Formats: sequence, structure tokens, C-alpha cells
Amino acid sequence: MNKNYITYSFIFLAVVCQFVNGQTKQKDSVKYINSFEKIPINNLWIITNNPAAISNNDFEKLGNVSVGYNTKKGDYYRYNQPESINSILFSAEGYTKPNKITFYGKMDYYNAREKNLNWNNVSFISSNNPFILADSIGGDYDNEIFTLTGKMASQFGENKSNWGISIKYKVGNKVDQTDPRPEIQSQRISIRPGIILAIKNWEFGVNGYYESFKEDTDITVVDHYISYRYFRFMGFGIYSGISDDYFERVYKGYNYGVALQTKYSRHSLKNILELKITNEYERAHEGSLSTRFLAGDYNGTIINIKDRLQIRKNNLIHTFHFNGELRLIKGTWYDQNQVTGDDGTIYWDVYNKSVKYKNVLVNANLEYSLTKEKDNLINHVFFGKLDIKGEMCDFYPDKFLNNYYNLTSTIGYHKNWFSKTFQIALKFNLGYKFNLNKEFYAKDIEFLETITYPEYYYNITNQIKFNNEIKIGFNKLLKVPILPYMAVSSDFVYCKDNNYNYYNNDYRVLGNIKIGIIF
Amino acid sequence: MKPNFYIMKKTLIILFLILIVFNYVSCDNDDDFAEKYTVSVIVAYPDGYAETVASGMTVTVTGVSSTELQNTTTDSNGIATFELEAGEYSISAVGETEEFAFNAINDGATIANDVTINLTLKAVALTGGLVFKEIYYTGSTTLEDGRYYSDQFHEIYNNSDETIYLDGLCIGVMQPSSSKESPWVDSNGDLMNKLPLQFYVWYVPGDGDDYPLEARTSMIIAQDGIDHKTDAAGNSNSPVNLGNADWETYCGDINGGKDADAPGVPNLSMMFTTTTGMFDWLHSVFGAGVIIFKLPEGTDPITWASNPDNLSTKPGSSSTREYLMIPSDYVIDAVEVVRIEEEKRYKRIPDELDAGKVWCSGIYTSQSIRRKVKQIIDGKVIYQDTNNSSEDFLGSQIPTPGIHPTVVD
Repeated sequence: MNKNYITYSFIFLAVVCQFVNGQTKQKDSVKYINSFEKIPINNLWIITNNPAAISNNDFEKLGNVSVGYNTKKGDYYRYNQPESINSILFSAEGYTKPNKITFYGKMDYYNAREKNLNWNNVSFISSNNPFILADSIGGDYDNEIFTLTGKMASQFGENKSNWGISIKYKVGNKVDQTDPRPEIQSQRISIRPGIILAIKNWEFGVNGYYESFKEDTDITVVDHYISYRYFRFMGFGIYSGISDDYFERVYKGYNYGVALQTKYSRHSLKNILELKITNEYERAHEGSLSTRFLAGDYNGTIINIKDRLQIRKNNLIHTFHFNGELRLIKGTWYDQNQVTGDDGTIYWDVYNKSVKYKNVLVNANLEYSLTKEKDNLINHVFFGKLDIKGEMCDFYPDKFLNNYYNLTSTIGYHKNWFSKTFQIALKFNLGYKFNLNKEFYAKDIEFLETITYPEYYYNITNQIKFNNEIKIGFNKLLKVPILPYMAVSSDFVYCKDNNYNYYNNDYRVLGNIKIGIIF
Repeated sequence: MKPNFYIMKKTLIILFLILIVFNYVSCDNDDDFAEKYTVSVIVAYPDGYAETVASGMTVTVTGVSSTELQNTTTDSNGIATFELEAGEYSISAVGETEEFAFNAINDGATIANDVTINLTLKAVALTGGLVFKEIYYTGSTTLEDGRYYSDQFHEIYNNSDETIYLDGLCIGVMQPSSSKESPWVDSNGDLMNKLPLQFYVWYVPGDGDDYPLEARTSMIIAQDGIDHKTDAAGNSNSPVNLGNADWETYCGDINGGKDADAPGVPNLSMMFTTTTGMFDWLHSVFGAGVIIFKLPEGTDPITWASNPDNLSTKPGSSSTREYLMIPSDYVIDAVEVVRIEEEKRYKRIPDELDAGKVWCSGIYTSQSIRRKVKQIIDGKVIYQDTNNSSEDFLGSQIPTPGIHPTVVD
């Protein structure tokens, strides 16, 4: 394990101990198994990107510490995903409000063994970035990710206006110990300041967002007799190849955006609307500054509209939630050749620049949920959700295309029981993904059968999804007012189709067991 | 119900903001999307040839760093037209008349707009003669996953209808071996018309009529003349038995006697060396430029190879190591064997000797390159020889020393 991660782990444990110690001294710290799920019911702002939202929480302290073990396997997975994943996740998060300032902190440590991962030597780049670096050999990867999130918010003025700021730092290290040996070191750091202004029944919010990103992939080999092939993918499985016993690629980028929110409250009705626009930019390059090879620029513009309407009638809460997102993606490729400068330096000269990859992703979902409370606690939740997702992807100049639209319908039922000795939470969700429309054109691509078709069929296959969770909290296990709990959950995705050459009736299953403390 | 004008006003503001955003996004449509360009390749016969316009020539376009591969035939105006996306390409033209084989290549054509490229053919008389029939150079892996290259061989074929005497026939591999661009270029950046040889250079001994090679037959030069499949010093994974090879490249005492001399297989004579450290005569497992040549009649190979006029140090290098320089006029056949990776397929042999390149799928793959069969007449094989190994050879073949195909490729 990397030395930094050992340090992080010690910090993690120390902060967790401090949290639990501090919280258990509070008189009002009787906690419930769904305390975190109840936050957005009482504070609609929490679903937005505005960090000032936490200042509207109606409690002073709440925390959760957990450790979980996950295992994921089954043949229904993308061509560049691992065959199986075994992982652990340590997580600690908590709210506290001393002296009118609300603080939120979260730390996650993820450690995974990813078996048989091919065609993928990247980690934190945008999932829509077509410029993936890969080798065909692949292997078993150790993947560690450490995430720190901090938020601070407070009210100002006399009319409950808020300010807030959020900082997030995410760092990862992903390694394969067999030739060729990629070591992928990644980091993202973001800052998000925001304010909320209250005017009578209205509240208006605005927040900015800036994120810096860097990822460095170093590929080395021990057996220098063999020269390996590295693939600079540019979308659709099309690549520019290079062979060597050592290879390095760096991704650098930044994201920025702004979000506007408005909330209206009157009697039992609350509505919050958020409009967010984000720009993403990532550049892949290889070599030193003087001999740099540009391996593709990714640009993304993301527009998101979110609205939640909540109507409370006695102990019933009706919630309508809409989320719409439009992603406009383009990938710019640089044609370059090597030239020798006057000083003898050999460098890459860009003689042509063009957009080769263009993708438009549309995602809209509408959800209705009915929450029934009992003694001010969530008792039942019924919900139904319709989700439409579409992708219109083009590759130039061949004018290859990959278009599809899928509709996913999901229904769910959540039930909680509370007694003097224990609390139980049950969740069942059942979904069906149905392909509405598909259109595909590609030919003479070397990796048509290996990459292009598998990716296409993964997207258009009809699926049945089922997930469930049982969570048991033990009120009196410890003689302090904290809630130890244990949770077991599983996700199951089944490919319903059997008329393609890929994924026929395959499935993917995720099992998770977690223990934790809510305090 | 009384309308809430305040809500309507705020909603309009939000919708206005949404419209601004969509307008911003929809305006972002001024990108230069990648497109295909029209590339016209005009092929002309060399100066002095009876005709000018070269119609019916096969023009092949190969992506230098892509998998693009297209070919077509020149029209009556000697023009071949392609639709290509931006990139670097190798563009070659080949053709043949009863008298001549024609070749031309532009190895680094950069395409970034509609363009016309001129190729002037070079002619080589089709007199038949000695040609490389097969070269096995990739080596094989051992049972212990080790690497074995002692089973390399070069097979030379008499592609004419007459007996050819091999006495004085020389063979050698070129400098540089692989992975590097050749520094042996003139002031215009063109490859020199003298070919630098390295490692060991060999010749067939004899007085001129001692070693005949019958028409449409071949002779095999083994690195080690043993049955590599069964010999204790061999490799059971090897694909070849070279116990019946015609010649062996035995290095003798020059490297301290490290090379084993296979009994029963005669040794070629060594005329030149740049090394005393190599165990064997190695054709790089990544591929090398290899030539057979003959010196002017009556020339003693060893004397000729010791003449400083026939030696040269590497251009741009401070090293004093000298390489044997063979005038291209002396070359009988040449084959450009390169690495599989597009960006490392460097040319070392001038186009008039070999305008193409050939390769196998990797190193230690037990694969050879073999010349295509053009015709089979009365059971005798005539191999294709247009001096363009891209057209004349098949890569990644199972080695077949001494065996000739029974069907045309």
C-alpha cells in the first residue's frame, strides 16, 4: 500500500474516534436508521449543488461511520470493465453545528481488487472522454481511492439567507503488477462556493464550481525483450497505435460551472428548481514539453435541470421529482508528424486539427414517491420512476454512428420498523430497461468485434434490474445513545435478450455487507 | 383561482435563463469536423522509357500510424484517386511489363487537404535469377518460455530457366537492424546507393563453377545446420529441421569458438565482420534489411572487403566502427524486413531494389516471410519478383524450408 494511504488511514481512524467520542456526549443524540434519508424531506436544498444548503438542516449533529465489503461478478459488463471486483469501503461522514456555523465532513477510502481488466489504462477521466489509453494484455488491478469532502455554511442577515463553501479532494492509485505494468495516479480537487437569499416565501440560490484534474499513467515492463502495443483510442474502438517497452500519458483538465436555484414554500407545498451548466475540458498528452504529442482534447457541456415538488398532508408526503440532463461532447484529434528543429530537437508538429468524435447524451427521469410517516419517522415509501436515456454518437470522417434510446421503469417499496431494542429497514426496487430505438453504422473497424459491437450491444440490450437491502439497527447494543447497524444488500442485473452475439442472458450481481454506527 | 403573478414572473425569468443557456450551446456548431480529402496519385514511367503515362499500375496507400489500407489501379491518364482522412501515409505503385518490373514509393505523404502526389516509377529488368524465397528470422520460444533464434534460415531460389553458379554469391544484413531510421542518407535525405552491411558478411566459396543451382530449385543457408526439433542443442518447439541445409554460417574462431559447427553441413566463408562478440550470424528477430550480391568477376571477396574504399563509418557518429559498403549495382536481390509496428517500419533499402516492406506478427512467433508464387508451369514454381516486398511476400507464414507451394498465391 502506498505510504500516503497509510497516513490517510491513520487520520481517518483518528477523526472517526473523535467524532464518535464527541457525539456520544450529546443528550439529544438518539438516532434512527434512516436519519440521513430524512434530511431531504425536511431540507429540500440538500438535493442541490449549493453548499449553503446544509445550513438549513433542522438538526445539530448527525454522523455515520461504516465499513463495507463488496463483491461484483458475472459476464454482463462493459468490454473495458473488470471481470470481477472485490472491494472494501471505509466511510465516515457527519454534520455538526457549533456556534451557528454548520460543518459537514466526509472521508471515503476505497480499496478494490479488479480482476481481468482489459482495454483500460485510465481511472478518473470523464466517463464520456473517448481518448482512452489502453493495452490489450490487461491484468488484475489494485485500485485505491481516497476522497475527502468538507463543507461549511452559515446564515447571515435577518431573513435566513445562507452562505456556504464546499471543497472536495479525490486521489487515486491504480496498479497492475504484470507486464505491461500501468500505474495510474489521479487526483481531482474542487471548490464550490454558494449563497442562498430568502425573500418571503421565496429563496434564491446561486453557486459556482471549479475543479482541477490530473491523471498520470506510467506503463513499464520488466521483460524488455517484449515490446508492447499501446492503443490511443479516439472513440468507436478506433485507435492510433504505438509500440514500446515504456509509455507515459498525462491527462490534465478543469471543469467549471454555475448553478441557479429557486425554492418556493407555502403551507404544505415546497418546490425547488435548479438549473446547472458545467463545462468540462480534458487534454491527453505524451512526452515532455518540448517533444509533446497531443493525444486528444475532450470538451463537454452539461446542462442539468432538476425540480422537486413536495406536498405534505398530515403524515403523507407526496414527492414529484424531475431531472433532465443534456450532455454535449466533442473529441478533437490532432494530426501530427515528427520534425527536427534547428537545434536538432525532434518534436511533434500539428498539421491538422479536427473534431472526430461527437456525442449527445440525453437523460430525463420523472419520479413520484409517497412517504408515510409514523411518529415523525419514515414508515413506508412507495415510489415509481420513469427514466429515458439516449445517446447520439458520431465518428468522423467515416460518419459512423451509434444512436439509441432506452426507457427504464422502476418501482420500489421501502419499509421501516422501530422498536425499543432494534430498528429494521427493508428496501426492494425492481426495474426494467427497454430499448426504444437503435441505429448503428460502422464498418472496417479493426476492433469491430472486440470493442465497437460489445459497447453498442451493452447499451441497447433489455435488462431486468433488482436490488434489495436489509438494514438492522441495535438500539441497546451499547450503553451510549448511538445506533450500531448491519446492512446486507444485493444488486442483480440480467440481460433479457438472447438474439445478439453478445451478453445473451448474461447477468451481473453485486453483493454488499456493511457494518456501521449512526451517531 | 387567482393567478399568482409573482410566481409567473419568476418562472419566466427561469425560462429566460434556460433559453440563454440553450442558445449558448446551440451556437457552438462552428467545429471543423474531420473529413476525407481527395488524393490524386499521378504515376509516370521513368525518363527514357518509351511511354510517359503509366496506366494499369497498382497503387497502394497504407496508413503510417493507422490501419488504413487501400489500393486501386491507375486509369488511362495514369491517375489513381483515393478518399483519405488526414494523416501520414505510405503510397506505393507497382506494375510489370514483359521486360520490366516498376516500382515507386512515397513513404511519408502528409495529407491534410485535397492534394496531388506524383510518383515516378523506377524500372528493373525482369531477367529472372536468384531471389530470396523464404526468410525465417523471428525465432521460437522454448518449453521453458525462453527465446531461441538459432533456427533461423535464408532460402535462395533460382527463379530463372537456367542453372546459376553460386560461387562468389555473398549475403549480409544491413545496418541499422531495426527500430531506428537509417542514418545512411545523402544530403537530400535519400537513402545512399551504397548499402552498409554489419555483423558478418558471407560468401559461397568456389572457382566459378563449383556450386551449381539448377533452374527452379533452391538452397538453404542455416544459422545452425541441425534438426532443431530433435537435436539436444536445439529446441523442441522449433518449427524447422535444418539438418539438410545446403550451407551453414559458422563463425569459427572469430568469436572465441562460441559457435558450434554442425557436421555434414558445409560452411559459408566469411568475408567481413563488424563484431567478434556475436555467437552466430543473427538476422534480427525484429527484422533486418538483407541482400544477396555478387562482386565483379574475378574479385576476391576478402581482399575487396579489406579495401578502405569499400568501408565507411556511420554518418553522424563518432564511432570508428566501419561497415562494408555494397554498391547497389552489385545487389541481386534485397528484402526489407521490418518490425510490425507501423511507426517503426523504417526503410533501409533503396526503392529501386525493394520499394516495399514485409513483416511477421511479432518476435519468437516461429513465423517466416515467404515470396508469393506467381505461376506454376510443369510443376516448377515461378516466384513473384517485382522488387516490392509488400507485393511479393507473404508475412507471418509457417516456415517451409526446401518446400515449394503447389498452388499460386
